[in-house]
Amino acid sequence: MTGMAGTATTTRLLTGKRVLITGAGAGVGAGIAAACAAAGAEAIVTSRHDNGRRVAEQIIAAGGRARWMRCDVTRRADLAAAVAEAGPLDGFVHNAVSTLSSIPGRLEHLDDDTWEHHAAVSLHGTFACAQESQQALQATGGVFIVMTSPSGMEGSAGLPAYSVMKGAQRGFVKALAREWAPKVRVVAVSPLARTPAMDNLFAVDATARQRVTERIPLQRVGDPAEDIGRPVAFLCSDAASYITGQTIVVDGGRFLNL
Amino acid sequence: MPRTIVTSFPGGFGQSLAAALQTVHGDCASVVTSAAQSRADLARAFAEVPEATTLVHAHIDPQMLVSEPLDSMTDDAWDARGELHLRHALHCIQAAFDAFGVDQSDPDRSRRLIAITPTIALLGAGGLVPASSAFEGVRSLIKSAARQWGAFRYTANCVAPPVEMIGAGTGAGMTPRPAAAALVPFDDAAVAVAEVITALLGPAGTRITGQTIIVDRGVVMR
Repeated sequence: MTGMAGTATTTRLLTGKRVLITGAGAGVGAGIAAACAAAGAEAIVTSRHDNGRRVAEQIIAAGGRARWMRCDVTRRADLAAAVAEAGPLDGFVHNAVSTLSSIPGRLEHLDDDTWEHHAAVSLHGTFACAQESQQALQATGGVFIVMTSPSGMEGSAGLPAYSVMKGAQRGFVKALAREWAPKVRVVAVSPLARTPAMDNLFAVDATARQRVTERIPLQRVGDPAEDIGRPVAFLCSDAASYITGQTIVVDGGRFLNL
Repeated sequence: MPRTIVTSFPGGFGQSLAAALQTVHGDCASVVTSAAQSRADLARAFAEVPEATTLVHAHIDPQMLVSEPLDSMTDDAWDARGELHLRHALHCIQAAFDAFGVDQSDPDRSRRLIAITPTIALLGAGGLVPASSAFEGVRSLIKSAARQWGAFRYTANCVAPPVEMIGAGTGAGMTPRPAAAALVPFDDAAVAVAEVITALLGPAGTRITGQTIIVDRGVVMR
């Protein structure tokens, strides 16, 4: 049965809760927002651009609760304002990444400017998100979630800067989980999800979909809301209250060696 | 055995490791580096060690291992305790790539990269969030180098001693150590790590890349 925003009806695990998601204007972030709203939460959709507003409007049109706030995670003032305006938080999901994340590159050619672009969102940005959300999460005994990547565990043959950032985020999660315990949980999620770039590739290359999906035991690339958003919603719920410090891999079985 | 450069912080573990490597494996040069150095500066320093084909990145600033909770940490402290050192690791391996080159004509002259990444990278450590992040980022860096530079005959691995072995204290916020049997006793951390590095630099190491070898007497088992 289909419920709001195209998602299957979800047990209302997040009734009465509030979850803020960064980078929620599209892709996985939008999917997480939709899934959390479908689970009963108020989704605080944050994004640098206006596309987040449309995500919030779609959630509301489908019967859910959502608010949009403009937020650039590289700006402290934006983060502080978003957290203050949101109110008590049960979940903070740091999903935003650098706009350079999907641009392939060579390690020997990685320059300081590109590095800093990634680091501002994924290293310093994670630090800032954690600091700004800590009090709000402590008040509810909530969860801080960082969206990482298989490349953070396996390294990457094509995206070395992205891989380093995603690896560092895992270290961050493990350490902060120890520091914030027992009041606040800290978890990483490593998704394999459809992206606009992947959809474009599948549209122009008829064999690409098969090449990608045949390596996935569940034979599909994850849908941002159904496949990625719902596990994140679970992690924000009381049902996940004994999970902290872990990296939850949501990838259809693609990376079983992790 | 290949000629080896060991990067180190002044007076830090890297210098002890270089001395131990000189004893165990020979032909090793200690190069004191700074997180403020550019890639070009580092490449020039490495090029002054002729015939080097191996880098052991053992620069660990003691500032990284000062325990501080995240909620009171300034942006400068975050940088000083973690982010700058992750970037320094990137610059060091890039400089090694610049200095060692990509000569594929001699199959016996493979290039080796080894990074010392304490086990807090794998475990996390309360009070050491920036350092835990940086060291885990270095592990991803090494894996990416292993994938991208393998065709150039580079191997890249990490060696992971427990952080207590390299000079950190056990102040408030440090990770509680899990109880485990000591499989093999050792007294000198630098020698223990040097022996593992020597094995990686020998023929046995030519097919090992992208890995993290944990040297902690069996406390962390993966």
